[in-house]
Amino acid sequence: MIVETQGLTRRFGERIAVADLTFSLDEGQVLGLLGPNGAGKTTTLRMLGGLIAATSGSATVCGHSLGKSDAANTAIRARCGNVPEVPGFYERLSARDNLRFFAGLHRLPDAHRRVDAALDRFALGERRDDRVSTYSKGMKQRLSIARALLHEPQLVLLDEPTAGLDPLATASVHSLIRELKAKGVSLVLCTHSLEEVEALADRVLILDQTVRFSGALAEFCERVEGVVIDMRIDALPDGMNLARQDLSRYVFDYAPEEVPQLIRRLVAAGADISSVTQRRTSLRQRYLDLLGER
Amino acid sequence: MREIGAILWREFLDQRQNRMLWPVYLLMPLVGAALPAILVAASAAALAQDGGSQLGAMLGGIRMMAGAAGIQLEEAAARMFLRVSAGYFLLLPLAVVSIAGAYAIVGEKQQRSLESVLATPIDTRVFLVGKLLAVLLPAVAISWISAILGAAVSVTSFWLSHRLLVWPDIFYWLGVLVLGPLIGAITALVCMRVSARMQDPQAANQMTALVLTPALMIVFSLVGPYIVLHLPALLAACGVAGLAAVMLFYWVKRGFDREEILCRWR
Repeated sequence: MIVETQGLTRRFGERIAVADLTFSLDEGQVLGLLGPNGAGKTTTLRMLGGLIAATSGSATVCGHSLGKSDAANTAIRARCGNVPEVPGFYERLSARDNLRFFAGLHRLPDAHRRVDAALDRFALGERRDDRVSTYSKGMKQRLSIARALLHEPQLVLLDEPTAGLDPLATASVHSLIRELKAKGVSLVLCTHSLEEVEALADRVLILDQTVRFSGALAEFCERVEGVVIDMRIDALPDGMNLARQDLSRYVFDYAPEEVPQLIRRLVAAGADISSVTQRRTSLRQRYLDLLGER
Repeated sequence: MREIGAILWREFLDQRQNRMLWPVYLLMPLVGAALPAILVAASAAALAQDGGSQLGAMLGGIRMMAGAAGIQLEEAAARMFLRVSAGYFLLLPLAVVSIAGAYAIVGEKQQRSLESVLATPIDTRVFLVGKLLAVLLPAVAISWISAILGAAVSVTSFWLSHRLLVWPDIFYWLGVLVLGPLIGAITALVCMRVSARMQDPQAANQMTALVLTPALMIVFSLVGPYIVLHLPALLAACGVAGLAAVMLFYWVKRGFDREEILCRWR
């Protein structure tokens, strides 16, 4: 496991930012971290990245126990790549000088070659000597990701990496995330975009100070919650799980694999069936329902 | 060490791009180059006065120096005023550092680069040493360049006017090479501590200007006459300043709370 937390909690004075956070993340997996504004997502990323300590609970990140010692936190920071919500560069310096600086902080050997390779990889090679202040938002975001990957981290923490980007830039970031995942890098993707989570994540964590949902994406995605049948029938056979009826529209509470048997029983009972559809709850509705349950 | 080098390199690149600092870096050495010569030239006028109360102690010191060293009164006066001119080079690091030091931490907070720096494996102590040196070294370099230029100009001008070679003595060089940088370090450390606790660089700058500079001026006015006249006093001042700088560094380190700085929470 790259990340394993147990009851992780963070307070700021009397205010609870994150409470009782328990989840795990394996190598090469992407965790989609969702939640409303002020839910504790950024605080969670900062704890996982070894920037701030937890008030209680425990976590193991990249094989090191979080907060146990300065050496452990330093080791975590050496193995994590951080893409903050606001990239935060030295605007008067060029992209190349910015990356060289961070390469120096990581004590990377062969820094000049790494920096140039990173700039080329993120299509910033031609503008490498231009001041960052002249960069567009999308370019700064690409540079931020390049900075986070300079030291080849095991875990990358991304805080809303596509916020404010155009569709082309967003697609480019998504492509990069898939590429990293294929290489075995684990990622925690903090985002407001459910579509982004659906496209990229293996696991989902929904946070609103406490965990509202934690599990595989498949568990969270569109759920089939029954079958809707439009039919005419004189009397329903006994023992049918009828959720509700609205004139000739019947909603049954059956799992998808039970639907064929259901239809055979209805036909045998003389039903004149005009349509059969599965009732699904969308990702968005599921998300809203979870956050609405307080 | 490599991290310190990276911080210094980045800070110097940034300062080079910051045109607001250029007048400070250019003007102060020019003033410094002229000041010793002006004061040395004024030494002759001071001798001609009939021991006014303000110069009484200094004239007494001049006569004592002349007698002890077996040199002319004019030469002793020139040396004494050279020592006094070193006071400018003690204040020069203070002035330059207080401008850059206030921005040391809060400036990074303002441009949102601090989180990315603290997200690296860099140790807090190493980060602070790098910041301290980045603030202090330009100030010390300006001070030393000014002092050397000032010494050269005053020696030349005094030779031309009096046909006497008057070199700056150990008081001058100890003040410039040791005490000045230590005062600069003390100023830088206080500025960094203030900078780490504030959200606004202008407020940090004002705090150091309103509190630290007057405090140091008061200290100078009290101990100045002694350190100019007595070598043991000057050496003691260097020792005290060195100790203060070390203690202040640990005070700054203790007060540098990564979490508080990142989360803006008190």
